[in-house]
Amino acid sequence: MIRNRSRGRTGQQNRNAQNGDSLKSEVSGKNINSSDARAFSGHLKSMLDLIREESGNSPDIVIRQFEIGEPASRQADAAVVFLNGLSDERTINNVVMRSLIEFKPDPNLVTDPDRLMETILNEALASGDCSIHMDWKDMLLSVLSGDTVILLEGCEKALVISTPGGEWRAVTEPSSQLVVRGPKDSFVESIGINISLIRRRIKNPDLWLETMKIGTVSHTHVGIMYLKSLADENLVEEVKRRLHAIKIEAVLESAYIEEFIQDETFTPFPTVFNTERPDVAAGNLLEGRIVLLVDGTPFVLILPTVFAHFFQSPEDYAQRYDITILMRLIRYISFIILLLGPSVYIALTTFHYEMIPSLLLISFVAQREGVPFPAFVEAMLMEVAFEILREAGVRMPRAIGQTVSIVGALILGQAVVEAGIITPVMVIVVALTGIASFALPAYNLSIAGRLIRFCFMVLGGMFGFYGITLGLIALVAHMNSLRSFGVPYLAPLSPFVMQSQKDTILRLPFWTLNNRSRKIGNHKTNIEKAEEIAPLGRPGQQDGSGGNRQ
Amino acid sequence: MVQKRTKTAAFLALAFLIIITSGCWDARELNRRAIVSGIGIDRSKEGFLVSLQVIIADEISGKIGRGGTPTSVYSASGRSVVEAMRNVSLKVPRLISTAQTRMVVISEEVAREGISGIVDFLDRDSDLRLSTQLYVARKGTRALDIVSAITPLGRITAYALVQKTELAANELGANFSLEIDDVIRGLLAPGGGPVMNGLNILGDLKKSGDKSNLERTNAQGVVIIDDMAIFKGDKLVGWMDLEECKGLVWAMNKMKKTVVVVKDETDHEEITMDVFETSTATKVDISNPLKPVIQLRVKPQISIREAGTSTDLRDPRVLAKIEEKANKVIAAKLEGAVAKAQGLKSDIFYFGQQIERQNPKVWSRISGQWEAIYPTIEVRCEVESIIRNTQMRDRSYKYNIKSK
Repeated sequence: MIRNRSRGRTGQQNRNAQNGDSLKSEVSGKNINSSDARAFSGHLKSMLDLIREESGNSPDIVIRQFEIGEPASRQADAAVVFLNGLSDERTINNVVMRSLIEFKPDPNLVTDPDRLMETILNEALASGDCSIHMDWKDMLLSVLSGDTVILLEGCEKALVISTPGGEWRAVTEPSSQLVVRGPKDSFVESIGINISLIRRRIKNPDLWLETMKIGTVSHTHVGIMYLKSLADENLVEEVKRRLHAIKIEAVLESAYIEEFIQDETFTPFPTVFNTERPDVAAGNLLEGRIVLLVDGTPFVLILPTVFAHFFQSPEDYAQRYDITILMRLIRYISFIILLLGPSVYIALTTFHYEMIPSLLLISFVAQREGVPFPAFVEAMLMEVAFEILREAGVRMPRAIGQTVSIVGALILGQAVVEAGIITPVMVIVVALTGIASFALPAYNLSIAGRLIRFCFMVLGGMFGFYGITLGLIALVAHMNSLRSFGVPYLAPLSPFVMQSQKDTILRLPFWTLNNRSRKIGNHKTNIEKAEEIAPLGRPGQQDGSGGNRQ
Repeated sequence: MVQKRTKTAAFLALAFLIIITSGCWDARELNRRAIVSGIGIDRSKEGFLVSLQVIIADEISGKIGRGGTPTSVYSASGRSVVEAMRNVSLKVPRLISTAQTRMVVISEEVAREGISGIVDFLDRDSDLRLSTQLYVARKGTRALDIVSAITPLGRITAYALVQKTELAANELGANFSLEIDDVIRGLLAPGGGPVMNGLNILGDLKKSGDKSNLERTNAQGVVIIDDMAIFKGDKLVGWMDLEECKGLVWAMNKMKKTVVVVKDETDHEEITMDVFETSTATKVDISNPLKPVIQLRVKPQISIREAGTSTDLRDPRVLAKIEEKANKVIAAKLEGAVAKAQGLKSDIFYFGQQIERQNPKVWSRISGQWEAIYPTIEVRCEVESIIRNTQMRDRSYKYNIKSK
């Protein structure tokens, strides 16, 4: 028996080595992959021993053995296997166990375990989601995902009953993407709950869900959701292809997946959108985008995305359109301030004093008298100090966070000016830049801006506006070269799509937007041919210039 | 593969070195600059005496001021303006930065000898703006005195003067802003020349640059905008008086607002009016090429500001009479200005260019003789003023006294 199994495993290894298939690949250590059908030996005791052996005799795997049938007549040996903590014990007790114990089968049936299992499935179990598994590995994985498995003596199959349970964080208000008006729920760490949150918003059979498991060790559930009639078929295929190509041991956050499937790694700009808000996910589904849900994180991925997407907040659709237009403009302006604020100040004071209005210049000069550092060093000091403060503020326990902001913002800012080390204007510029970075609805774009800001400061400090202009040209060229699943990153602006302008920088009233495929539908024309989309993680492509778009 | 990577690395390193080694171009911190607000140019034994009004920013807005004057004047001589400015650096510890200069004063002495060299410097310099205003300091006052003056309102004299010029142009209409490019345009006009605002110091010349000048409510030396200087080519040839200045501004279509006073015939009291909107159209009649006739058509819109009469200003016939009188007064100003310019033989109104624009063929024939023709041409002024309003009252309170 054991000999058989081990031979099967080696065979498996050989096959893996040959075809290099990622999803079924072998991982050393805990092996739950002996998917050989012979593992279902039909011998209950050896099957249970195998389960115990493969899980290292973990105490949280509960194996309950019992007999089916009336005690007077013949009985069949059976066992229930579940994972303590992940499965719902009440369901197991009330539904599974009770059904089995109260089940009084025809004595003839007991001799035929296969028919007995089917009868249990069809007649005894008072549970909605159950199925018969033939695959040992699948069976084990479902136990580890919180399902309950019934094994019968002499039967080479397993009956799997869905009994999800365990503790999850309750659905709470989102912590990163807040709105004044709009839904207040947020995704949680359970993919099941997350899917239900989206389904609750779009009650339509057209909303398709496909799941897969990624992570050779973690076997994380990943769901692909899209509206069949709106999403581009090629895009769905491409997403699936890229997901299948992922080789990773564990997926603990959707960012792990994002890094594998994004078109361009060497860019500060995010090319996959993420959100923890179900309403945003639903809204994007309705625009024909694809939503990727990853078990264990409240952040879902949305793709394809464009640059303008990161300036949109769910609140844009909850407030009046004219106010929304103003708010969006302010977000774009704050992004520009974030990128260029300190660098423009440096360039103005060290190169282009003639461009400063005279009276303002006098004030600048007066402040600079006696300040020991050049403007560039001054700006760098302040920006770095600000980044330290921010990092400290984010990681600090919430109770201390207040103190940090008081010490940082008030005392440090005040003292540094009074000591004559930094000019007050610099403090204003840095503070404005910092606040501007918070005005962006997307955190990942704001950190991208913070990074690029330092490059611009160097350029501004070395070459003035000339350097900043060159930097901007390079930046726009780079952004133009970016693609998010084939969609040009600056899409509705470059290439220009008139139809999409209604909801890019502007947000016109809803009745003008009632074109169903109002965003991605137009991008479809822009999606480049499938072969042009850079293949990811595919060996042999990395050195080729064709797939490498930098 | 490896080779390619090495190449890429080498390229990146080179690109990085280019940035690093090229240094910071022409970076200069603000506290390494001496910011010049005004330049004065006088005659000296060597050639030019250039005086620079440098802003002392600490004294204006800093917390660490030492109670000194808001500006400081550094001057030095040289054979040319640039040489003199280089010589100034013996006295100034910082880079002389002229991009924020708004005022250049030339003394009458220098102006009478010719300003072409100075204007070329102002035009050529990359720092100086073409929007810098040019002035002539009237005889008896040196450009240095103007640049050194301290004014109670506005800490930087040069900026205060430019503001004064603009305000006076908008309120009184006896001058208008003249920037370097305006002057260059004037220098280029055939048979003409630029005009420039004059500057003078009213009161004590020596006290005007003293800090004690600020300590009295009635400042002892005040820089004022004086009459306008007329150039022929690049040389100053004469000055207009106040009324002629208004006519000059009007004829050049630069008038924004001015005041007109007429005598009322009923009780011989003065009626003062504001011209709040006016335009001047110049037309040339060249039926006889050697005797061109220039038509200046002025359309002022008037508002009555002060009436010492009991006249009923509601009566359109009365208003028409007042308009008639205003027309005459305004026409007289224009004619006076034109006559003065013709007397000085300087085509400051660009009549020659008007002819060229309207009929280039005729101009090419007469341009050689333009110097001779210009003083003899006839200039007709047609003024059609309209009284638009009488402000808050229609009749004066005197009207009620009389009617009782």
